Amino acid sequence: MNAFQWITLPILVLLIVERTWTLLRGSGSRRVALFWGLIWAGAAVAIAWPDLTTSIAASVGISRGADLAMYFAILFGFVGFFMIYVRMRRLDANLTLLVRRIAIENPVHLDGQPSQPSRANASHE
Amino acid sequence: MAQVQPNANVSSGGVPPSLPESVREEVFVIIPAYNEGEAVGAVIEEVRAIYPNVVVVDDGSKDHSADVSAKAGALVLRHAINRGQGAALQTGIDFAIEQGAKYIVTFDSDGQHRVEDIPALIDPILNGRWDISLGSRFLGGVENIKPSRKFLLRLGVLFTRIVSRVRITDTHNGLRGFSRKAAKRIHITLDRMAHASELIDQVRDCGLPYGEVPVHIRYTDYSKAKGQRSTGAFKIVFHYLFKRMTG
Repeated sequence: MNAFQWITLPILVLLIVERTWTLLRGSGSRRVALFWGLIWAGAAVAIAWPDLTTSIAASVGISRGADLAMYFAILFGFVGFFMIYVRMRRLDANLTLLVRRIAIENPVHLDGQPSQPSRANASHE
Repeated sequence: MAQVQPNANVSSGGVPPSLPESVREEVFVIIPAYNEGEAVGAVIEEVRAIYPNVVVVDDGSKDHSADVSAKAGALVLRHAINRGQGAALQTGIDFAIEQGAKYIVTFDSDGQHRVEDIPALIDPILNGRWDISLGSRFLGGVENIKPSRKFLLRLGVLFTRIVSRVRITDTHNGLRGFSRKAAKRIHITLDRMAHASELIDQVRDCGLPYGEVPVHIRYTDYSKAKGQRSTGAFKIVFHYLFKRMTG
């Protein structure tokens, strides 16, 4: 094992153990725990057995294992960006609901008094 | 493709039908405003002279839009932070429904819409012809429009025909009228300018009849300076398509 493997593999093993523990305890999202567990396990395998990634890369027409790892990293980067963007939009929508509710419950005039509209008779729906 | 008929009761140069006072009191005019302190006061006074229920949704303005609106006699709802025109419209619609509005009109705050067009929007709803009136400047008239703006609006119409499969003549016109029933079925989720395209989809899918009404838009130097930049169209398309993809 080289120095890089000595440094990274224990960290990855710890991360895998932590995710497995989360999965077994049932705390948090199982899907998220499984997703990250697989990511860390894949990284650990690629670092521990670099020749394995090279042979996998060759089987799909890519000359170097490092290139395959980089392609995956870029792909995961895009997926991660998309997921964060979707989550941000959801937060944005919730923020709007909150701002809207506060606005509707506090209609004010210039003097700070609540506004009273002439209430229309809504008999037909 | 859904195709709407223009309102035959109102021609582009004709006299719009007037509304009885009892009906005018049941109309809520929603005016979203963001940093419109310079123009919104005059707009409110003009509208309130005929329609008593004017609701201004101040969308987190940094100027005195809210104070000016209140002084002009509008009911003012304040967004604590800016959320966009679509969000402001939905806030106003929700409020109007809670207050018992029978008819809801959406109206711009920069002075480009005419109060005289409101009866033309309400009349077909009142007569049971349809539940949603969509204003169209291309059936009515438009003053001082920049050619680039006109081209973009035409592109928007084409986009709507292709993507939403709705054959209307003016997609991004803020002058619209809704019956109470229709307003309750509208839920704008796109907070910013892409709401106009989302709204057309909801109008198409809400199961209620709708139609276009000729209206007149007057672009002033003020409204042109305040209007969106052409590059905003790309943002609108992105937000709208993203929403359609992700639900």
